[in-house]
Amino acid sequence: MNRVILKPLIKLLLKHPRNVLVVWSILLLISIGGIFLIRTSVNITEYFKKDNPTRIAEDVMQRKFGGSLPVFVEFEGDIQEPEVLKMMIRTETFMKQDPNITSAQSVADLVEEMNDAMGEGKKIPDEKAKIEQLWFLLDGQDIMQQLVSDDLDRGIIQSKFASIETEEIDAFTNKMNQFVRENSTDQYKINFTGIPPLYVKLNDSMVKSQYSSLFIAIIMVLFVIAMIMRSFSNGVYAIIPIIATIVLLLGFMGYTGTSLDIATVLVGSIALGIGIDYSIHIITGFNTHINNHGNIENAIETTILTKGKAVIINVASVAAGFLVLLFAQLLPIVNFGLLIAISMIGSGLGALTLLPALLLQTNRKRSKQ
Amino acid sequence: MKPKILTASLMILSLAAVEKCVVAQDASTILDKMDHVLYAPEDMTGTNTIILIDKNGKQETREAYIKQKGTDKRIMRFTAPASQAGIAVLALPNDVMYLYLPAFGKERRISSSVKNQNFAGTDFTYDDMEPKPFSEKYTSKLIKTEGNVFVLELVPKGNSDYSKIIVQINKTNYYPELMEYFDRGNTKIKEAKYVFKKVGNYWNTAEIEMTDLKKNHKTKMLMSDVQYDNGLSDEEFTVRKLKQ
Repeated sequence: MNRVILKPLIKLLLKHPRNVLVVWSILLLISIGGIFLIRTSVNITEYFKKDNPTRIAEDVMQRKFGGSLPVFVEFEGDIQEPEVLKMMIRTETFMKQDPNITSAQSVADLVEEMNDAMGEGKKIPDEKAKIEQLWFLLDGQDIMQQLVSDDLDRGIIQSKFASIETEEIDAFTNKMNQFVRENSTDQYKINFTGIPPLYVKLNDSMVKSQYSSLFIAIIMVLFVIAMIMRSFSNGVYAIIPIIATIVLLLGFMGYTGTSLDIATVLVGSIALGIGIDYSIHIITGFNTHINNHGNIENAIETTILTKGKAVIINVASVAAGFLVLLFAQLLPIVNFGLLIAISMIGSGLGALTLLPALLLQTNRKRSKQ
Repeated sequence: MKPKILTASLMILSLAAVEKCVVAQDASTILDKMDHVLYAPEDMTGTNTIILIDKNGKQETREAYIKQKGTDKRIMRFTAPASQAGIAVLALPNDVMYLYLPAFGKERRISSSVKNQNFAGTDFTYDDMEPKPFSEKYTSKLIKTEGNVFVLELVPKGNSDYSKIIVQINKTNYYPELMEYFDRGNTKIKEAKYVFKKVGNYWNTAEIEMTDLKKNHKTKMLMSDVQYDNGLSDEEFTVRKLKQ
């Protein structure tokens, strides 16, 4: 391994440290572009492979039966008030403007039908007395329990959303949230709920938690290493390769269309936790050797020759362990295994190329001073 | 030897057939007697208090004034709560039912397709409320006699949401004490407990407590101010009268 990998690597680092840093910078710049392409997915059906019976059944639901994502619009107020029922009908009409909503049902529809049966047209009566008497016909029907609360102070519109595309779910949810905000009054309050807004909230919180947890983890790692090594600069050196690895990883996810989901959202933090080991090995080795020899090049060479093999074996074994997940049934688990393996290779490469190049460049400057 | 065996076999078969006939006859006679108790008066008027009790024990009360004549004419006019006052249901022979909503000033005939639906939030269907002798709607079979009751199985003659009704009929006075309703999957879905009291010469259905076992919802129907044989005319049971 020394002859084939480590010695050529040392030669490259000692001769062209700046070029190594340039290559890394280019890679990171390209990866930053990919971060903006990352899509999130909390849609459970996307967790199954395309030929999985569950996913095939979901496709049938979408194409033939108007989807499987339940959508509810809840109304708080006196449900027998004509204005409330009329607003329910207006809300249904608004919802149906979206191509992914093919049908909607509420008690307002039943009242309209009953009013029609009484010969007064398919509309909500203007008088509450008429609605109360039409209610006499509806009271006790099984469907009523699904549409109206026992106290008649809450009613819902039930519908289904036909698409599982995150962008379409986002667009519909935003539209509905705006409609609900603009149309709630003192007489009634409208709440939009169901799976689409839930997905949007999950997506949002997943992205936020991804970035906030990574930020906190990096600060904590920096703090702990700086404390243990009694050097802030050593802490910074240690986290640079791992930050670079995470940027590469997120860029890879963006360009390959690998979604951020309940499993892959964990990859960044886990990569940070495992990958930091390699940097610590290199920094401690470098510090020991530079204190012993006082020569930067010798310190780098000795460090890579003594620690490099361990780092490579560790990268290979951890990556191989996680690559077993490629045979999993659920796509998030498959992606998780692949991304962890990639992040291990990335952090190993970072520790053996980026970090030594940085140490060479920065310590040379100091010696010049 | 063989002719003797044949004769004995025929006799046994004949006896079994006769016995079966007697049991069947007994069942239909018992059911006829129950119908006779339920529809004994020429006519009847009274106040019906309907108490709806949900699974949390929350109660809602409605009141209606009832007039009934014979076995097939009944008018039920709600008097409370205020939002339902004036709503009336008219049941006539040949499964004809009309509903009147005063806020609309219009009556509408109730389609036979909705007769399996619950009536006005109660646990009774429109079909349950129909004033029609059980013997006309159901074939009967005596399952057993136990204690002070005959236990009959009633199977609908026509279309129904019920597969059967098991009814316990008082042996002495022939009024029903308990009815258990089974759906088409043969699962018990409802039960009605009856309390009868003697008013004058007739047994009056003083209370029926119907429980929907699936929803855990109850309906109590209490009859009060009952009067019999007031000489009500057929004119009282017309659509014109319904709208008044």
